[in-house]
Amino acid sequence: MDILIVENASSVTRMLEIKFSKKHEVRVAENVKQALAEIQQKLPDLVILDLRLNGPTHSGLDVYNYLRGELGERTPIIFLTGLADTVDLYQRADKAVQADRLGGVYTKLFVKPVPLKILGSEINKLEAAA
Amino acid sequence: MFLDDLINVLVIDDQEGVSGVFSQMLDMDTQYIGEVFVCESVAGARYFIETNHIDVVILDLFLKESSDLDTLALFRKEYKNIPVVVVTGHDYPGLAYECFMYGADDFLSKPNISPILLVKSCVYSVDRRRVSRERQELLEREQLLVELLKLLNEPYSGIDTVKKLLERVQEFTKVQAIAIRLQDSEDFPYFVYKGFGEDFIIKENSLCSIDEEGNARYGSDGERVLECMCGCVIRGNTDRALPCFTEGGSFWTNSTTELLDHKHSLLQTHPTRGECNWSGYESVAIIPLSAGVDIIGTLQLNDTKKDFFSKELILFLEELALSIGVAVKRAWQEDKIKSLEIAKTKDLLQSSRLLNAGIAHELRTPMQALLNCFELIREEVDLYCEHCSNCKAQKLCKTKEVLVELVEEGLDRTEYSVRVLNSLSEYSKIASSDEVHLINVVPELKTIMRTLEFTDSFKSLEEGSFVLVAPDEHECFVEINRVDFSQLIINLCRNSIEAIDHEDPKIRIEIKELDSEVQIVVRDNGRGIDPSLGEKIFNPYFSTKAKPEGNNQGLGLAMVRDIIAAYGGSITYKSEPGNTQFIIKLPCERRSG
Repeated sequence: MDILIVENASSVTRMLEIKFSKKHEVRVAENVKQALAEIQQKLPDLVILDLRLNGPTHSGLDVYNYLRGELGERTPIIFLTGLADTVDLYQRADKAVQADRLGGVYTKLFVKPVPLKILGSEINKLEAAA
Repeated sequence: MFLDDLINVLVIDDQEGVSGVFSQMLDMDTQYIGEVFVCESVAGARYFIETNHIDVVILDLFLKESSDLDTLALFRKEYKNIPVVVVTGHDYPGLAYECFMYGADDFLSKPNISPILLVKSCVYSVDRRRVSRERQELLEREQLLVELLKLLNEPYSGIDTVKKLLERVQEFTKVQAIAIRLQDSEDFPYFVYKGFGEDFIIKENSLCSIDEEGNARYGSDGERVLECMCGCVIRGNTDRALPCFTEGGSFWTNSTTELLDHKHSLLQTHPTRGECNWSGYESVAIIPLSAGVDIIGTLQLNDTKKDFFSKELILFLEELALSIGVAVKRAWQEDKIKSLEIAKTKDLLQSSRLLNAGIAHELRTPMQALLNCFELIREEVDLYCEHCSNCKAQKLCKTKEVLVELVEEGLDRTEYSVRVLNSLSEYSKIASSDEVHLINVVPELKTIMRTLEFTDSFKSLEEGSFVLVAPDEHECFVEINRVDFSQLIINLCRNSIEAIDHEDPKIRIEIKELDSEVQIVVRDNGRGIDPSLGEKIFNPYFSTKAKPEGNNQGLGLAMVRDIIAAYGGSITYKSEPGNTQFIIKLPCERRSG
């Protein structure tokens, strides 16, 4: 699987990389700009997306909107949130999750910290479904 | 002279000849004596007393039906307030004294009675009664004033002080209904009332005049137009030349029916709504309450009886109204201070919440790395050992053992930290919005309880183990954020169920409505709380549970306390093994009228 991790905390990214790069191809983006570049280069099979990225104007939702809106892709997305996001941001992400579920599109929202076990089993499920 | 009116006399005597003499004597006088009635017995006297106004009775001793002083005793027992002049032809030493002991007002010996003496005795008896009655009244008024002053000097207890004041005035006047209106922005709704029906209060609560389209009417002075006599008194629109208004600006009538019947000029300049009359109130008095130069409200007294008030009483009430005005103003100001304090508490709470939330949030990302780091080490240890020669050879490797133990401990502590973090997030979530709902307590509690019944710990409860006890058809409203309300009830119920470690769990929520607050008691038959813990149980991170589990890290009660404080309520508890009660009091909103 081609997994794109969009997260500005390098410590978090590093752990995920160590865990999943053994069996999967893992790419890392630190901000929205890098994330869009990675997606344009090659559409990943899964995006693990931190909700709060650098700066108040950029968030994981920008990446989400690009994927779902501009590209119209049904790429699976796992949102990670530290809950530090504004209520508004959290609620919008939550709505996106609800809407996608109704549309049969895989989008989930996990509150940090998420055990690797859980992320791993989500990835396995996705792989099995694909 | 001292008497306002002529006095009516009733002569009770069985010897017709003599009573004829007395009535003739009395008839000779036109200066003091009004009508004279004659009867032959106490039984006969009853008829006259009930059908006429009798000011004084002349009683001849030694009547047919009873002897000696029995007649006097009998009469006194029935009519305490009518003065009695005893006349007798059988005077003996000590008789006069005995008569006085039995309640006679004067004593005359027959052969020496002259018309002047008889009239004088009657007039003096009536006047002595009047003087002593007035003295008694003055004493009572003085006592009332002293009591009111005492009340005013008591430590402030809000609206209750004003209520007590009102009760005391009602007790003194014996009026059926009494109320205080108080300014509330442009209107003057009832602040406290006693004896008025709920319907009356709802109908008459607002004095504001509105036009056909429901818009407020304003006078040329820019003030809201206030209706009815209460409005006239508040606006000072009282024509002091008219007898129903006093110099002090009060309105009073002893018959609203007559007032409305006359349709005289009064009603054109001072139109009334007529509700007092329709509700059967004949005597109505409206006294202005002022603080400084402003009229801030009214004191209103209503009675269904006609002729309830005297001018003196109205003037006295005006005097009282001065003190009441001061008290009410104070109650009002202290209420304002209290609501400011509540707002301040809310602000403080909000900022501490934000801080908590901030801490919790900031820690989540590093916790993600930390948790994953331990998970990875755990995996790496296993992988490493697969290739480790030590492990292969000895099957038991000390290094592995130590490593695994350390990592497991790290994982365990990390997970615990995450739970603390979660509870902190939960704790800082209270009143996530400033929105306040008007909650009907009983149905709201029922909904919350139904939700709880689906949760793991409540699912297994038997029917009747988790109940709501509220008075029938009870309706009371509390202004509170809905999420906050359910949070505090849920936290208390969860604590209750966790405190029960026997086979017959019982949790009860009881509702009682007090004067201006609603009391919600959550009661369980669990092991109880050590009373020496006192208020400590409300501190954050205080827990009686040996090993806090789940997301409840000893923040449940702290949360409950914070929520209640934010809405100006209070929480206390009483506990013994098998009976623990948490008593919440929240300010209660009256059903709006």
